[in-house]
Amino acid sequence: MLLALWTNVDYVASVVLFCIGLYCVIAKNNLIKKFIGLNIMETSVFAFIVAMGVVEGGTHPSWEPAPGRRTPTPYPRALS
Amino acid sequence: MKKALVIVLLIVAAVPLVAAVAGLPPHGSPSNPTYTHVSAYYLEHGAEEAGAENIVTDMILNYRGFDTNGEVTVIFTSLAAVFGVLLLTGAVARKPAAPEIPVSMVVRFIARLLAPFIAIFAVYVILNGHISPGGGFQGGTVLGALYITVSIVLGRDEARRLLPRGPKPWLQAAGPLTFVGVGLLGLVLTGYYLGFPTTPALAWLRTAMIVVIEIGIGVGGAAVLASVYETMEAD
Repeated sequence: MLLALWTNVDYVASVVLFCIGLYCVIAKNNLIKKFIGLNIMETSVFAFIVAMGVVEGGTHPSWEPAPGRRTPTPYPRALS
Repeated sequence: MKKALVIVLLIVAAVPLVAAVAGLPPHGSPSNPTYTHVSAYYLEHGAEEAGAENIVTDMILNYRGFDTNGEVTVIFTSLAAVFGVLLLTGAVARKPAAPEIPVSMVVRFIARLLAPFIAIFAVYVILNGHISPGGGFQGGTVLGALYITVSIVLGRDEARRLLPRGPKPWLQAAGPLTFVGVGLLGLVLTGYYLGFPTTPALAWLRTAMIVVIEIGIGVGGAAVLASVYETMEAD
């Protein structure tokens, strides 16, 4: 379990970010702070999606064809 | 009491998430399911088949063109909603315009100096979206931010000249209009709405269609950002 968490530490980071955002939304009374919390939650989802597309040693999918390119799918998904 | 409740709730939310994350396939491995199914096809065939070297642009404008078409329409609808709330209720018309805050000479000079470079960068990002990272949405945002900067630093009247009254509605609707135009062109050429011609001889036309859509999205996005700011500032 712990080893699996360590290999997926990027995903864990986005979970932590999500929880920080959730805390802001629930615990703060200030509407602006709530909104910032919502934004942090949104960013954590983007971080998760982008982390899913990472390939060890890969480059951005728009460069010249290379053996290891990252998945292009996360970027349009984050856009919408 | 409230704090304890919040902490319990956070733990309840976090435990299933962490458990799910621990069960995912290892991060960064090329054999992940995200990398083996659809993306592998896109990476292999995208550049020849869809008309743009940047695979992300291929996906946004070709493979998932319908989705982006809807997205562009959503941006235009948000502008319509702002107009509907602020203009139709008469909130803007009733109030006298707020006095402009004087800006320091240094800021004015720097803004004047940088404006052309920002504009050129925005055009570069829009026109290069099919080769390198960038595209209509990103470049349009830069252009809209330039309009807002000009409006704050050099004054409203100076900014208003950048968005003249006559072509303004057409610029605001440029995104959906070009998208539908290119879609109808695809309908005529291939029989499908937003269909891109697939023969290798017409590869230039595919790229041209993508560039036209990018320009439309860029101009439309910039105009929408600028006019939302203009309307809200007047309120």
